[in-house]
Amino acid sequence: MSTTLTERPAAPAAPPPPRGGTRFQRWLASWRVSLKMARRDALRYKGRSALVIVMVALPVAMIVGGLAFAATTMRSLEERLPWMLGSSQAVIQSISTDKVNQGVDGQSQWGYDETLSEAERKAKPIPGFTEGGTVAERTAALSAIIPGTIVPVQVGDFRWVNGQRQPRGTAIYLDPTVDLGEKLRLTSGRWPTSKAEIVVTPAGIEHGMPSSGMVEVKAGSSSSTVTIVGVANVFDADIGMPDVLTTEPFADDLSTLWSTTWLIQRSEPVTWSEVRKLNEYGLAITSRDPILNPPLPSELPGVGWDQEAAFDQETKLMAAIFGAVLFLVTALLVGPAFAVSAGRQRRSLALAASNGAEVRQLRRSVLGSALVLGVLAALTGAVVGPLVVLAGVAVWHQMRPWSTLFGPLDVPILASVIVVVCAILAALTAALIPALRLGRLDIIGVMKGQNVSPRHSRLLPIIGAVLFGLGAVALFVAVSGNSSAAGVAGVFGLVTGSVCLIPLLLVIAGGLASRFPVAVRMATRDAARQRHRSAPTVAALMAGSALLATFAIGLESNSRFQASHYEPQTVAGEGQMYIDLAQREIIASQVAALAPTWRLVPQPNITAEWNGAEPPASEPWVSVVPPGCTIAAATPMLSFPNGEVPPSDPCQRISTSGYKTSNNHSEISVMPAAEITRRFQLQGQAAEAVAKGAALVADPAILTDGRLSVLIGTFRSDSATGNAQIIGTPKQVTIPAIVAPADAGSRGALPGHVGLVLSSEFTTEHDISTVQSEFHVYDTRGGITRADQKKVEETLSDSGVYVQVERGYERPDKWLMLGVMGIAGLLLVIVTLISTALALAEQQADMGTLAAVGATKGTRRRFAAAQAATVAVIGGVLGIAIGLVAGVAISYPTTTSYWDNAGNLHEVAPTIGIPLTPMAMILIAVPVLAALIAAASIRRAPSVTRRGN
Amino acid sequence: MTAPILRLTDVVRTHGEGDTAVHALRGVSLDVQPGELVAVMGPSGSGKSTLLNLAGGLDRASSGQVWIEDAEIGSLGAGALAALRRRRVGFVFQDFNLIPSLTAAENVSLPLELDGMSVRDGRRAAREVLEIVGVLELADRYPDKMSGGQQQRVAIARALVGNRRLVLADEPTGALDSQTGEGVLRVLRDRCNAGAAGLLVTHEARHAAWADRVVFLRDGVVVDTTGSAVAAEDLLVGSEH
Repeated sequence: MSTTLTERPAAPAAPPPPRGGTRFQRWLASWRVSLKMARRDALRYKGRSALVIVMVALPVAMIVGGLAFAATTMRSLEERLPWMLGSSQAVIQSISTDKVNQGVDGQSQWGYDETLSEAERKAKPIPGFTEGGTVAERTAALSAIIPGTIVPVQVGDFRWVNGQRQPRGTAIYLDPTVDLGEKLRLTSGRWPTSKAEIVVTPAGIEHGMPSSGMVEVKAGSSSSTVTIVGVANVFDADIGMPDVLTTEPFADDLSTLWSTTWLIQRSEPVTWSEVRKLNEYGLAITSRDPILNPPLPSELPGVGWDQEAAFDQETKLMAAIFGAVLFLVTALLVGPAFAVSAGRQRRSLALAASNGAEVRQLRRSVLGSALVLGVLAALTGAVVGPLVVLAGVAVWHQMRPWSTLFGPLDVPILASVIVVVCAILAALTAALIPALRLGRLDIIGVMKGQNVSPRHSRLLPIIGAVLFGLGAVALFVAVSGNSSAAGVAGVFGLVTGSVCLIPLLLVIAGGLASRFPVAVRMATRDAARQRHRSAPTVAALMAGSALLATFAIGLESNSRFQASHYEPQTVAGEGQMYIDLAQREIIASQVAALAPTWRLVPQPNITAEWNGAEPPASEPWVSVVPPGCTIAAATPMLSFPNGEVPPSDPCQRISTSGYKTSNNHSEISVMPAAEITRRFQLQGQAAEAVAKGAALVADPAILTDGRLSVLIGTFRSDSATGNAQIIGTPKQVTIPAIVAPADAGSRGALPGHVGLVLSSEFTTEHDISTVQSEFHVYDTRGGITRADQKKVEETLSDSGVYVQVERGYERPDKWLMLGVMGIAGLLLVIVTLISTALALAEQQADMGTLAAVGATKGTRRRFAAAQAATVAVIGGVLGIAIGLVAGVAISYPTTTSYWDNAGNLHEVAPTIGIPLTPMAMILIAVPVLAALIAAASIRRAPSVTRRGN
Repeated sequence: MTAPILRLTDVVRTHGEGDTAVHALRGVSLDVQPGELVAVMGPSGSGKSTLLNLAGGLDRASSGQVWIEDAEIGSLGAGALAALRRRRVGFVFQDFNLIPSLTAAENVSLPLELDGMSVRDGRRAAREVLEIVGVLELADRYPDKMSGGQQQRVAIARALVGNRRLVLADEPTGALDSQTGEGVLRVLRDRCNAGAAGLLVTHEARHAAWADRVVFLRDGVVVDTTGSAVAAEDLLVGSEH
């Protein structure tokens, strides 16, 4: 039997495995898939996506909106031209005795090369121009060197009488018959022809001025009644819209004028080369031509600096600072959201891994989600912020059409891009940690439905404890040795160490929970077992709590320190009232009507009247001659070589303040004799002596047999050198004196910086010049009440009156602290709630099981509340632990030395204050509030039937 | 004759409205006596799980009445219904539904603790039941450290703890191998022998054989209530032809 063997047909060759493409193609493909998954995930879980978007978009919108607001109010030179120049070609901003090196804006200037001689720096003289000349004379002198019409423009303030009130107003003084285009537009009536007539502006009407009739105006010591002849839109580049316009100042008093500038009115432009020529005369000029046609950098003198460039720099700096804060806040806010998101994706990612996805591809899917949501949110915020500003500006202009506060919407693009990039980076950073954890994804466990964090590392807590300890030591080394590097290392050690300790602490908390009520037990165990989700939340809460605790301890320590070394400036319940000298009588009568039990005591200063221009010809000085000192030694040194004030000189211990004296000296106060008796509660012989002209001293060592030797003289200041010279020979007088009561300092009657109190009668008798710039004020019924103080200040605020009442140490940082606590507390609650909301979303099945075994809505609410409170308390405890160390450390340098009122430095033991309110807020208020909100959010019954799913 | 522990009278359950309405149950009536284990069988979508959910107070009937002993579920508020589930009804789910953050003993004592029992007493009671179902050694173990069979025994222990009178099991052996499944059913049977009433939803006739009788559902209607497990299997096969 033969067998025919037929050859089996060869099996078809297996197709070659598909090629994987290049590394770049695989990278690109994995990102493509990741981004597609992320986009669909964002659409599928709309609630979580919306939460992340809001958390990122909100701070971005606030910062970009803030930058846009700042840029919009900062009008460019070009935008300001119509208000600055109107139809003029240029404006002379200032006139100096030196040549001017100016920027294009005409307002920024810088000095000449130091190597130039004084003569080389001096400006060319302008024929006929003198500093003390009238405006007309100075204008004529300028007209001689500049072609065209020169129009002087002066701006100043005035008061107008409105019943019992004298509100302050702003005025522009110029010849309105010159056509200045947009700068001046008459809307009704006519232009004034003299300073007896004015036009009011919409701003003036808004401020309460009438639009017609007569009004009494006051400027300096002048008073006149003017007629309102029209209403006009008038603009000034610096003050916006003034209240009134007239032809010339209401008063000759130069102190009522803020500025005098000159417009150059002609058809030809004032070119940059002409500006530079006029700079030789000391004129600083803003000209339309170089603004619209900027000169080359090489044509600019010195370093190219202008206001806008500086603003740009500032904006970038602000953007960088805000960007860093934004980065931190956003990462803290959205970190837990991405951690939960990664947790939710674990099954999908495990499926992808089982189908060949590499770890880095899994990571990209989490990062892709952060990228999609981060970009979307950051761009949304960057658009919404400026839109809100735009809407706000529109509403503002609707309400105040005359306002010059805002220009067209201006969004600093580069700064905004920095902020947007920071936000996206923050979102990516927040997603990075959960993405990195995917490297340890237990595919089989996840596919089996196990969703528990792997066993915590034994090494990590040890590293954390060591880092925390080293950080604490470094921080104290830093503050005791003033080493910033050690400080940075210390903070780094504390924070990193705490982060490393978080997993262990969560596990310990979970372990301790077995005896807790079931809701708390479940919440604590959940936090311990789902550390991938809870650890980022706890870290975020820890960081926020640590910052708040550090800040609060630092402020509290400093406040307690300041309070313990506080020296009252006057008797408690009494105070100082600051009043415009020109109105002292009328205001005194108004105060008498408002607070009849108040008494205003003149509080003169030994000085000369000075109108702000040239120094007075002579100014008074008074000095005490202590026993054993010669007249020459006790004569105040009014000038010092190189400006260095020598240390304490026992012969110059007490003299009038003002010009230079030696260090550690006391001042001389002046008040009526009757007030000395009242304020120092003098009785018997002491009161009698003061009534007869005795002075009051703080230190009996300056007396000889109960008498005080005083030098009285005058000096003159040189405005050019800033030095002073004594005029003539000082007069020496000897007067009786009493020593202030022992409690005068602690009562505030004799502040530490005052060594001698002279009576007003003494200064009058010896013809010592005094100026009364303030009143001492007290209430005959006792201390001045806050209500009375508020009433007087509010009623007389537009007269420039304010009252400073001694009420002991008052924390200046109270509102700052409250603000910081409010914002930090809100952030902590938000972080807690985000984490809780996402955790509860992940636990819907468990909630259903709970309901199925008989849990009520109350139980589920307690569970949600416990979830929120658990992470908040653990984060808060850790944060306070860090904050205590850091807060105590920063309290050391700020509370171990102080200067007293007499100028002496004291070294003292540190003051450490632990404020209970912020600590209670972190440990109690935040967890309780978050727990209550979380509990209240449990409304819908969970689905316990399959069909419901 | 003793009063039934579970009584359903002409129960209708309709999901949705109008054209999209799904009639899950159409007038089902059923009594389960103390000591009786009743198996519910039927094809997918026949209304088995809906029947179980209504019997356990997890869902409410569109019409008709569900009585658990002397309590008519439809008249109970949410709080009373939750109390009923804590005290009288034990539920066993196909996918165990243990709380992952609680140990086996804590899962078992959960209804007792929710009802106000102290942690210590609850745990003692839980250990007793865990011993009955044969997994006492797992008392301190978390669900993710247990096999499927172990988890289901713990779930049954949770359904039995506190002397519940009604045990409802929704395909309790669906995720278990046959040997483990048999063990679980034996526990259920023993509980009913001790006086509880049981309702067992299952697809498999050999599991239904542990029951005293089989109720067969089709399209929301009870088509047979008296048959043995084998007859029911025949019926099931017949229905597929």
